[in-house]
Amino acid sequence: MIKKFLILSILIILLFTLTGCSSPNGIDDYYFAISLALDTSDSGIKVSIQIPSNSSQDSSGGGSSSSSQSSQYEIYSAESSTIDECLTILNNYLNKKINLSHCSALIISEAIAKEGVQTYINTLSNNTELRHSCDIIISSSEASEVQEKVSNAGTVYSARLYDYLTTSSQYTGYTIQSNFGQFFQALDNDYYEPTAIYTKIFGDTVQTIGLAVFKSDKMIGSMEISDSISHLIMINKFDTGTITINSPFSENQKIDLDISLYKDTDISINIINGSPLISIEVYPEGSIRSSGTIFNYTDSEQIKLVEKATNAYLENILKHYLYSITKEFNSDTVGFKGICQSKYLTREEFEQVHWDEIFKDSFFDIKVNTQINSSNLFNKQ
Amino acid sequence: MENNSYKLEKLEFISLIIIIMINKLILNIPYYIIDLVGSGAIVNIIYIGIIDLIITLIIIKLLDNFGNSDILDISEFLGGKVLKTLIGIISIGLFLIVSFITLVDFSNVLHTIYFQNFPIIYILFLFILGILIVNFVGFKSIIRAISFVVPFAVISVIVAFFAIWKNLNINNLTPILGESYHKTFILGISNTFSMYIIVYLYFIKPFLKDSSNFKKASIISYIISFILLLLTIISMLTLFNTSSKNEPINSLFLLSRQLELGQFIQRIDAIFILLWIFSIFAYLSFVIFLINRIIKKLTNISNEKMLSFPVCSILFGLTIIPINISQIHFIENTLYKYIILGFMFGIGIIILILANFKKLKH
Repeated sequence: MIKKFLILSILIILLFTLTGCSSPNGIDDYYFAISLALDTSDSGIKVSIQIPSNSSQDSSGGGSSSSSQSSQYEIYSAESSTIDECLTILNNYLNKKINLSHCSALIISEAIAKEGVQTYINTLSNNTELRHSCDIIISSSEASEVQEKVSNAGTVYSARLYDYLTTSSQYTGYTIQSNFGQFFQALDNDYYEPTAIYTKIFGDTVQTIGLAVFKSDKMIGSMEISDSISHLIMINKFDTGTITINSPFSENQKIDLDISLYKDTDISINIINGSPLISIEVYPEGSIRSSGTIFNYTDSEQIKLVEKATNAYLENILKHYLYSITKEFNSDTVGFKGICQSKYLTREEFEQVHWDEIFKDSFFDIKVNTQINSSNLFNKQ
Repeated sequence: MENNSYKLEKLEFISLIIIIMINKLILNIPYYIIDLVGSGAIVNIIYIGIIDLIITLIIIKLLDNFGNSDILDISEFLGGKVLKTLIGIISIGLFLIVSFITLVDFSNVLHTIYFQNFPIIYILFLFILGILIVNFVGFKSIIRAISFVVPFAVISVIVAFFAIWKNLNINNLTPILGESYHKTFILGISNTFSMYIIVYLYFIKPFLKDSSNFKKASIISYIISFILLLLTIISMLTLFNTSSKNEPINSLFLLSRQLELGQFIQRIDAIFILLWIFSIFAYLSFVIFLINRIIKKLTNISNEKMLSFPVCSILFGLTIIPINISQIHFIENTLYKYIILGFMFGIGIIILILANFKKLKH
């Protein structure tokens, strides 16, 4: 028994030493792209990759590729008719294989997004290296420009280079988390339309300015930051954020509130005279961060006034968002279709509703039930 | 070399059945179920689960009168050597197709996902080599390997279910009855093939140490297999939209790619693939052993172990025949499905019923 165990142990240890005998894939054979940008070009598409710069890396080469270098990252581009062809050109130019397993962002220019992204997303979904957690960013200008601006941001840790555009969704609600997996699911889903982070270049920085709204695989418009909060509230992905409302006590003063949802948003849909009546009930809870010069929140009447003002504010931004997606974009970014069809037993029965045709005629009954729970460190000033 | 007369304990028997089911989960069976009945898959799977359970109970009852015999012994009792040989040949054909599909399909998945620059013939050869060695060592080794792998494989399915919980979109489960009543309850009846573990019940009773445990062990393993299938279907339904025209080569792999444990642990699909390699390997080893055992019974060869060489050679030969993805798809989704159904509910049950009548007459 001991002999068998010894032989087995030696064999297992030897097994690890054999890994060096296999020729194929050493880390030196790869360039690990940290972002991939897609732009339009005369040849079809321009693919740009961003890789951490390394003094030992050879940046010379030829062909139809080009490169631009910043302090910590290099950007290489190739133009051709498909993504894979562009990557092949870059592989040839760089003399190393491009690996997307560390790609943290896929940046798509608005021009491409408006033409339709299905082909590109399908191509990339076939790539086993690309992670589902890779962020999808829509850029109002050229996508490769976003790479350049982000490269200049001075961030050293490449895996987190684009995080600043998305992580704030957890504490501001001003942006959403749109990653490749979710986008691919939404694109292939019949029940809701895809959305993505929409960015714009301001001077030397890239900032999120709201949501890119898609209808099927084509971007049909964008929505502003406050709509991002509404979107997150509607899909129950709103963690916490700060809103500023008009003070109910003084016309010229504002109140800042930290809000989150204490209960998931309730949505129910009824078809009234061929149009969907969508009833929405939202349950935010808030704490007061700042409230002007004079306040007394030990007084329940004052709290009620703040709650009422918050309700009015949220109702207003929700209405703006909901009427935008129905009347302006006719794009079901929330997934009302899925909610409506859950009332039917079979798809055959649901098809009698002709949801896609009546969605734009939707009207809303919104009820917000805000609870103010805390006034932070002071109750009275 | 150990003797192949090793008999299974109850737990080993249950592990054996579960590994068969897990291999079906790995090889896209849940996707084919969803593809046919859409969002009605949950109702459909419960519906066919009940039908298959009734069939299982009938088979157990019909096998009761024949002690430790399998379908070959019962065929011999019913129609002599001729029927036994006929059923034996059909069974060998069935298990060869099963092992062929499993090996080709999974090797293709491995090749596509991890070893694109590596000739697929090497992957096939390494599987065949392993199967050959394990079969040469003996039945006990196969069962021990299966018993070792099963808990991890079961955990992987359960982890997959709970890890994607936060991304579940419950609306994908509706309309609960799918496209239409007709599709869910009439066309969907062909999904009964998904519980094809029933086929093995015809053959594995003689392997059990105490045949009085057969009923209990079969029902327990059936229920566990059904739960695993249901969990996988719910996970897939909620993640992948049924109206999508995309057909993944391996839906469980796509599911595992979505798994993240916090922000730090990502890409744990590699662990899943490793577990699945073990599962496929253990399962194929058993199927080849079963083919050897059937040939032994038909030909009265004294040492079945040596049969592993020709059987594995034939399997290897079959797998290197160049066939394209549409042909694999046809074999897997049409040919294989109806052969399984034919054996499970046709030949097998007819033989058992007739043999029971004959026994009653005697």
